[in-house]
Formats: sequence, C-alpha cells, structure tokens
Amino acid sequence: MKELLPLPSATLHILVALAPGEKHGYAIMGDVETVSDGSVRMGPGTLYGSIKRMLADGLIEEAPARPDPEVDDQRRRYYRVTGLGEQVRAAELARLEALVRRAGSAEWAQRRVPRLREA
Amino acid sequence: MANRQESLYRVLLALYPRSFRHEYAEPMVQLFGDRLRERGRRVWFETAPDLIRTVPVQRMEAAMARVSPGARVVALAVIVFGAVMVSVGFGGGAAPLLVVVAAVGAIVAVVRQRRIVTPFGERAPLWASVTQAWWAPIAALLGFVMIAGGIGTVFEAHNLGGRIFGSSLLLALGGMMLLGLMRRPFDRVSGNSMILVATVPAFAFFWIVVPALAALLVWIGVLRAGFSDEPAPATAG
Repeated sequence: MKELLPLPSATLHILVALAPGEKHGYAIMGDVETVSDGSVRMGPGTLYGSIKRMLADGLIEEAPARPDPEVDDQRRRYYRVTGLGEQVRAAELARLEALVRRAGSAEWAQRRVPRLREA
Repeated sequence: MANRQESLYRVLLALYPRSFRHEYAEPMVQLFGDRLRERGRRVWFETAPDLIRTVPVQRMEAAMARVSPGARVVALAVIVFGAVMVSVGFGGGAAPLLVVVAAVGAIVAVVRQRRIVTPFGERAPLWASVTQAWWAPIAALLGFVMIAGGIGTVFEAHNLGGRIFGSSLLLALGGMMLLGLMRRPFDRVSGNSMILVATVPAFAFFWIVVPALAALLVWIGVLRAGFSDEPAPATAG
C-alpha cells in the first residue's frame, strides 16, 4: 500500500467522492467539484484516465448493478471503492492531516534556521 | 447543436490510443454531453485543456504497455545516447560512446530477455524473415549495409582502433539485425529487441538522412506490431 502514497490529487478526490457509495462518472465529477469548493474541476480525460489507473491498482472496482432505466441511463458505469481503496484513502488523509497540523504548529514556525551572514 | 458538439468531441477522442478509446470513449462522450447540457459552450474551456493534458499521457502509457522491459531499457539507452551526442556537438569524439552504449544496450537486451537467439536456436529462413512484414526488407537492407560497412572498415579505417572498433561493431550490429529478423517469427520479444538495438548507429548518425529514415521506419513497424508473445506471421520458405 505504501508504494501508492502520496496519491495524485485526482485520485484522492475521486476516492473521497466515492466514500458515500457507488457513483457514475458524471456524479463523481460533480462531487469532486463540490468537495473541493469548486477548486478542482476534472475533464473527461482526467477522470477516466484516473479511473483506468485506479482500476489497475485495485483502488476501485466497477459495480455490477445497473440503474433503473426509468431513473437513469442504463449505459452508465458505476464505480465503488475497494477495501484497499479505503485503506489508501484513510492513510493519505492521515498523512495530509499530519502535514497540516505540523505546518500550523508554533513549534514549526519558531524552528531555528541558520542565519545568513550579512555581506 | 448539442449533438454536433458531441460529435466533434467524439472525433477528437480519436487522438487517444485505441485501447483507451475502446474502454472509455462511450462514457466520456456521455459525460461530455451531460456537462454540455449543464454548462453550455463554456464546457470547451475545461475540455480543451483536458484533451491537451491527457492525450499525451495516455499515448505514452499505451506505448510503454506495448514495449517489453528489455526494449524499454534499449529505448532509454538510445535517448541517453542522443542526449550525449547533442551535448558533445556531434563530433567524432562521440564514436567510442556509440560503442559503449550499443554494447550496454545489447547486453541488457540479452540478459533481460534470456531467450535471445543463439546459433542453435530456432530461426526462420532468411527469405521468409525478410518478407515477414512491410518494414522487414528495410531492416534487412540496413543489416546488409552494416555488414558491408564493417568489412569495408577493416581496409579503410585510418587507424587500428577504428579498424577494430568500427568493423567489429558494424559486423556485430549487422549480424544482430539479420539474426533478430530470423528469430522474430518464433519469439517476438527477443527478435524485436535485437532489431531495435541494431538500428542504434543509424539513429546516432542521423544527419546521414537515408539510413536514419530507414531506421525510423523499422522502429515504427516494430513498435506498431507490438511485443506480444503471439508469433509473427512466419512465412516458411
């Protein structure tokens, strides 16, 4: 699992978007925008390129169920997070939390650095 | 209007490699259509950069997936050698580097593949080897020219080093080209690797246009045909 970390930004956002349950590409794209406050927008190439790699790495899998034809287009493919994907997402979020905590700590801000000698 | 834009996007998807299109073209068009209905024409402002960014990535991934690990090393050696050639200003002083890089590439290919041709290995008759693909006659011609050049160098080189290094290198690479062609119908990976290594000098001296172009055609032919274990069409004769 460690070799997958740190995750590319797109991969992490997709894993977070899929946390509540299985979704199709358009829903993933919309939720990535929502969860990132609109700062991350994925085009189809980025989304499906990431999905391809995540399927190969075993982070997500295609869900066998298809939507009710009266509710949604049956051609849509749904994806869900695997057990490995959940572990990797948790590890990456913990890594980022630790980074934010350390970066904001007073101890880090006051860390002594060697002073440059004035010319 | 929306249909026309979806059709345009579908046409642009031809830029992606076939394997990626086969798997994801339909959902991508569907996604684009959803986005188009939501955002209108503004969708192109995010779709165009997305295409520019992701097409080369997918192309590169597809190309690397087709190439065996041994051939990747050889390709890397060619790139490194090209960079060295540029950095030393294409001078004759780079000739010893050619020997080193070609030798390392050949050794790596042999060690990594483990099934490289030996005089005792299975191989196709020369004529069948030369006619196995559209690019094979070009590769064979390059091989024969290298052998002829190797023989000529024995008599023509101005110094002993040139005779030993130049002639033996050309003879070895010419032989490798022909043996690679003969091996390829039985084992694509080792056959292709030998052919790719043998074209290195033609690329290295790229300002001599005809052999460089011939080598380029050979590389295109080999890489397009792929490295799958499925034997090349052997035309036993």
